[in-house]
Amino acid sequence: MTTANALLDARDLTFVRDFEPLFEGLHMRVHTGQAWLLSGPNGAGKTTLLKVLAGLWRADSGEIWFSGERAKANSWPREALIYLGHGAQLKADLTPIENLRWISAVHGAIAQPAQIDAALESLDAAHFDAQAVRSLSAGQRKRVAMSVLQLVDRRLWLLDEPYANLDRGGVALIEGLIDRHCANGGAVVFSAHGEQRARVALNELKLGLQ
Amino acid sequence: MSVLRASVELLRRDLQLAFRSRMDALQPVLFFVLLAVLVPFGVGPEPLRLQTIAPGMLMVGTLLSTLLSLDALFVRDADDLSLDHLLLAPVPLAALTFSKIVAHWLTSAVPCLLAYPLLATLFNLSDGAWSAGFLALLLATPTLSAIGAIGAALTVSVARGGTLIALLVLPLYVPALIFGASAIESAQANLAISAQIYFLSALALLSLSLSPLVCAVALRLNAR
Repeated sequence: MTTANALLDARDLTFVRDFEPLFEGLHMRVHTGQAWLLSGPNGAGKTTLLKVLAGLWRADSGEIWFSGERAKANSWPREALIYLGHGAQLKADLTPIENLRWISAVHGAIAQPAQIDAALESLDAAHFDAQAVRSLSAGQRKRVAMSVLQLVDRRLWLLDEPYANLDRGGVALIEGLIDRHCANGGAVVFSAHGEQRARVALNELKLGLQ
Repeated sequence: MSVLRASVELLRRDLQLAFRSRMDALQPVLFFVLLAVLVPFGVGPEPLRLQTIAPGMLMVGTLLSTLLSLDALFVRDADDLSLDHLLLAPVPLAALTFSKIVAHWLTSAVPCLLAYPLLATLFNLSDGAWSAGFLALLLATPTLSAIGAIGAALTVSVARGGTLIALLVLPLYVPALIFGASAIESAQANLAISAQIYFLSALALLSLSLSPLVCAVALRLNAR
């Protein structure tokens, strides 16, 4: 495949923290249908790389191209990707339904109540959808946060620790989401520890080996 | 259309949040009222003396109560990481920061305006100055919210940035303070207040139109 049709093409990325490069000369080419696992020890730069790809943080050098177009700081292709962080990014005083409503609106998607219900249902999170997020467990919050993926239509998912705090059933549901997204022409870059794997052809980028 | 919808939903969310924790949201205005109650103990309760200091005290009280609520503007969003969603949204960030400023005005200035009759009574404002005082607060508070938002956005990644916000923002509040107090003083002396009102309106329009852009840049810079 040529460079032009790669969904995401990171070239020669370097990110410096405290005068030490966290990663240096990093290359990564993500095509549609691919799931990429970022692995490496704590502090290896997995979250940093995801945030750089999402356009939240700026790399010190290197280029990032999306579908053959170079991403610039002032014109990041935000309608092509979504980043979900390790924390839940939810408002603790609102219910899951209210949270999903504002999050999808902010991302430019119009989420009908029925769609929100269905998204929560598919991650087995519907039975606590009327409680304030404050009263939910970390795993329950994670399920609510991941429901955003079904409401906001983005080709590239950047997921930081999507399996964190989830029980075995939750992990299987997220794996299913990732598999289906890749099968439908999307791509996923995610970080994880341990043995969790998406079932689709998985590419792995090991960080922190320099 | 999606920009408008995103802004409206964000405004709705912030109002919902303020309503859920309404005791927190009412603290700044309670502070303002307490301040007005305490002043006569310090300077003496003579009506004439209270009338003399009323213009300045009303404006300073508004300034301080606004400061108390500024940390809620972006810091809470940064703390629970929900700010990430705003930074990653495909809509212009300035549209979202404008929503945040409007929400701040509605939740911090409107309670002060509602408490105004009580405050005016505590300072023994004459009938002629009553409406001028209300107008001054009404027109000065959008400026306070808009300029305060810049301070809040600049200090969003500073741990315990509350004091820093005050140091950054209070000097910028001087024009609103001067014209607001001057409007009430002129009304007390039965003079025309249109000049001050025009200035306050101009300040409000200028700060409301520029502040969302500055906030957006500051938030992006602070993301790293």
